[in-house]
Amino acid sequence: MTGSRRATKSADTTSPLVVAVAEQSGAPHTILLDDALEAAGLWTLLSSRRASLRRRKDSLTIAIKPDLDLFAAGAPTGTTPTLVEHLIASLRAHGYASVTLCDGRNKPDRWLHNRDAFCVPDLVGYRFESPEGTPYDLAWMDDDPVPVPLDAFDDRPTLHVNGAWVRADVRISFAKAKTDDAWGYALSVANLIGLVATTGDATHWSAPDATLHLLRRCPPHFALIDAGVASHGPAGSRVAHAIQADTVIASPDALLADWIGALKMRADPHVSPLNAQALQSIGLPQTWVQHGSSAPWSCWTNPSPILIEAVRNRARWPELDRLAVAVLQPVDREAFPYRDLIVEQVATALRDQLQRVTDDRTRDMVHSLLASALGLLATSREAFVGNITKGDVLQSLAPITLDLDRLDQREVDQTTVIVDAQARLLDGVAPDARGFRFRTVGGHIHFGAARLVPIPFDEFVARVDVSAAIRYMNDYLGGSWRVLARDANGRPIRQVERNVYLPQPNWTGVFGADVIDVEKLEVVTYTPDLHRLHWRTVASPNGSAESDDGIVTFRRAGSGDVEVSIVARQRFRLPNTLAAAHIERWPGVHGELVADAYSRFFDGTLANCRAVHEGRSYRIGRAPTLDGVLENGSDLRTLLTGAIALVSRLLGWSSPAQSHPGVMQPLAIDDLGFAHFAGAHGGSLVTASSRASSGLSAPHELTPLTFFAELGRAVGRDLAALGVAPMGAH
Amino acid sequence: MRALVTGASGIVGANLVRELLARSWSVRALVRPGPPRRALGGLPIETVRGDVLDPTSLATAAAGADVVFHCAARFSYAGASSEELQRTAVDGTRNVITAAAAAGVSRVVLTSSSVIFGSSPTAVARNEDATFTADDASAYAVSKFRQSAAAFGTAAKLGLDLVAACPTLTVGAWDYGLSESNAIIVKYLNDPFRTTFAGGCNVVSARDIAKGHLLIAERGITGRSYLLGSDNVTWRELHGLISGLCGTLGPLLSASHTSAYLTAAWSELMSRGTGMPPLLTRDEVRMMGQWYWYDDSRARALGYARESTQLAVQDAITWLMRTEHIRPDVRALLRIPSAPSHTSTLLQERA
Repeated sequence: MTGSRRATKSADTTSPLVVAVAEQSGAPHTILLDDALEAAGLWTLLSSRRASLRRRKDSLTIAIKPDLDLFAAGAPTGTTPTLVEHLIASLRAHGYASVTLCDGRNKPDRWLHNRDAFCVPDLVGYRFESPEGTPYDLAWMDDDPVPVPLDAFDDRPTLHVNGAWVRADVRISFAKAKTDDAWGYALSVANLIGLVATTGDATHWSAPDATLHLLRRCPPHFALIDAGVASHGPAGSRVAHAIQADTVIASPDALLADWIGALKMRADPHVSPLNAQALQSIGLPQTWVQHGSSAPWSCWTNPSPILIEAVRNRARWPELDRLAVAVLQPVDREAFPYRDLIVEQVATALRDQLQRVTDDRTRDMVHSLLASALGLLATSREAFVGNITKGDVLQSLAPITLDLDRLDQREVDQTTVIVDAQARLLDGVAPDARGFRFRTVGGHIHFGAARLVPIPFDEFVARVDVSAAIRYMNDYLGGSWRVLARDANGRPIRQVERNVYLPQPNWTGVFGADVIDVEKLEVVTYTPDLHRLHWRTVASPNGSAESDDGIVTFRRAGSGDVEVSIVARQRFRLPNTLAAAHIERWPGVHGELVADAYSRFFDGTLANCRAVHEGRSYRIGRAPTLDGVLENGSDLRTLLTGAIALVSRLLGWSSPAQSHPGVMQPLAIDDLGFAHFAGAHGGSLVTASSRASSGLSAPHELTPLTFFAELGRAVGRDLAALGVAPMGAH
Repeated sequence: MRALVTGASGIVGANLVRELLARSWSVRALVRPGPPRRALGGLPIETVRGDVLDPTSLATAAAGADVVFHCAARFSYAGASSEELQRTAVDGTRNVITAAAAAGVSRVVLTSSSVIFGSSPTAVARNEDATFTADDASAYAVSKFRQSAAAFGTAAKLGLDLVAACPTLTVGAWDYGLSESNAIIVKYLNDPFRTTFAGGCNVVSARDIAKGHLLIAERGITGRSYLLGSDNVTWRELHGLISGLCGTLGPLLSASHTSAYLTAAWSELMSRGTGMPPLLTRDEVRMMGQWYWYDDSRARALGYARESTQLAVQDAITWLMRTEHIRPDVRALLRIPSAPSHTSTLLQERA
């Protein structure tokens, strides 16, 4: 079967790529693997690489990345070791002797023993020699981390991956076919995460950004998916739920292999954000040839969208996410003993409870409910941080995912024409009391506002760069940009930008709204009396925006001061709960909410511009910490210890004050009634009677007794203020 | 004239040092050991490291001084036990007065507080004849009351000339440590609900307090206390003034005693767990609904002149906006009030 044109990726080979699906019920999986290798052209590919690199067969270095996310021998959550060793043996049989296994993630972690370099493969069935008896190498991340080069305009910290993978002449990903409660499914692209260092600079990278970067800079030359025994169900990557699929998928293109793998799983290939971002940025081959069927495996079950959304929401609180993974991950405790008794007891108790539920459907529902509760907890925390304490929200270094090499300048230049046409839709719309103009067209909100700022135009534009105006907008969390062209004065006139903002309006975060994440084409114009930026959104990596286009203008007003105006057309995706409420059916409420949101947006943006003019900081949030999204392990002991300490303090078992020997007791009380203290030394604990003897009120310990007594007085004061007595009334 | 100023890096001390320098006094500042104090940076003063609880360092600091301005105190509604507050206030003050007497200082000006004259349940202004009301007094108020009594008792015993300045709620510049009075402005602006409450206060500029201290040092009658204040306002008026100056809405909510008490209790509980200072304390809640209104006629009779509360608050906000005390995300949404025309705070800072 020949695939149709799916994306704009240019063809770079004369013959179409092949994706092979070797599938036969009851057939040995090693045979299926051999068939898939042959059909997908691995041997041809190796010959071609050898020729282009002018290498002998035995000196062509080959790196294989198996899925080693295994916590028990024989579990279907990782690549089957016998298949990996069969691949090594096949390579050897064809004369390719320099083969290395690579991995990066299963380094010593904080919650299990035996997760270090060689223990995991040894304990899950790897024998360190191929079936014919030849030993093979295992390259571990800690021995050889190598930075993956960044683009010149990329400000992020360098991503380090396994050096053997980067340097290999041929890179082979050997993934497992499995569902995943966070990504929907986990195949070749997800397998690449396992090459990345799990601490340090990698923590500044999201998993989709990291895998996209690897696919661009050091992609696999060949991708294999082991679906001999696959793992399906709500969380197949974590909880072994074996299904005999008797299939091996192979292709020189990892995205294509995953595309077919997802179809076999009956899943939308775009459900995984890892693959979705890569498909959007890189795309599938223009043409391909498929050998074998893409008909779905029977009886395969996928995680529900509710579960996926809940688990992704949970990941917004990395500490909670790591804790949940540690507690919910089934583990062979003999092979991988827990490092901590408390962790083991909690995890065991929870799993014992879950295992009491024998019915699959009920168990899935319990999983979903548990995940939803944790997801709600994480989104509530994020909403609180986003709404109340914006200083704590994490800033972003999100990179541009658009393929700039293929970006047509005319497409950028069209931005002014398209956005000017949108802006004209506001012509004739009367401003409201605050001077804001609104119009809704096809669900997109058109907004316009202008304000005179009492600062001379020339002074203002000298300090406030209109080309950076997008970054001054309210609730900007970060992103990146690249200037495509500059004018004779070195000022940007065409640029591309990715921006991340808090959910808009902020309160939608309470309902689970994700951050606004958009990529824009921008055109900047400068005249003596006007500086203007046109922007047009062409992508939203997280699907948070359907449109976000507009114009920012700094214009010289008649008075010589600057007039700042913003015209915008926006439509942000609402969380499901809000979308289901259809607030737009109540125009009054909807109008007020929209007006309030844009009022905050415009005022905040203007305040940020003024802050920039005055040289003040305007950014919200804090830089990401080293506890990143890719880190494996558990903070359970830390969290439990903290929780116990918190409860102890709340109950008064211990407190910061009591960590000292005690508070000072007066040595004597003089004739004026003043207590005399011993100074820096001596003293004993103050008693209630001594405090009472002072005759003056002192701060009370917050005990249940004082709490209710003081609360009663507070209520009494409120009642008095209502008119019974003049207490506090004015 | 040579002056020793204790607590020179606090809001009152830092402004007093500047006022003394403006009048050509020679200033020695007693500061606790630690990193250099930003509030005193670049000033032509002599700095002595010491502590009011360390009599030896006080003896060194007081030597040769004509007047001692004892501004050092712990002003806190959280993070310090009542014992700690009183130790600094009472023991520290006794040490300072003893050292001053030993050094032959001609006069000690004690920075006390208006709270030693208590508060009222109704909107009436209290003067220096009012008595301290122990009911619902905060630990800080108790410590200041005890400090004042201990100071006059010790001075009388030692035959030392002592006068006391009793500032009301003092706001203004050079408060890098963020005193509880400037914190009222900061907390209000950082509060997304812009909450106000019943009762009232008297708000005065730190610069006027500094001038008042000098006035009392020069003209005050031995053994007397002088209230130094400005306008009496309700909390709602004060919060409305802050909102108006910053171009933001508010106050939006009015806290009841019950809701404020529950918030404070929760805040204190969380503080115990997290180790972070509570946003609101029960001590502060006890002050709600009380009227901290004062009449400073006695000081005015000496020649004390002060600017309006509006100008004092405007000046304080102008300075606070340029510090880290107001969160950047909050600050970004606020209008910075232009500095009062008479003030040189900003110009000094820019210089």
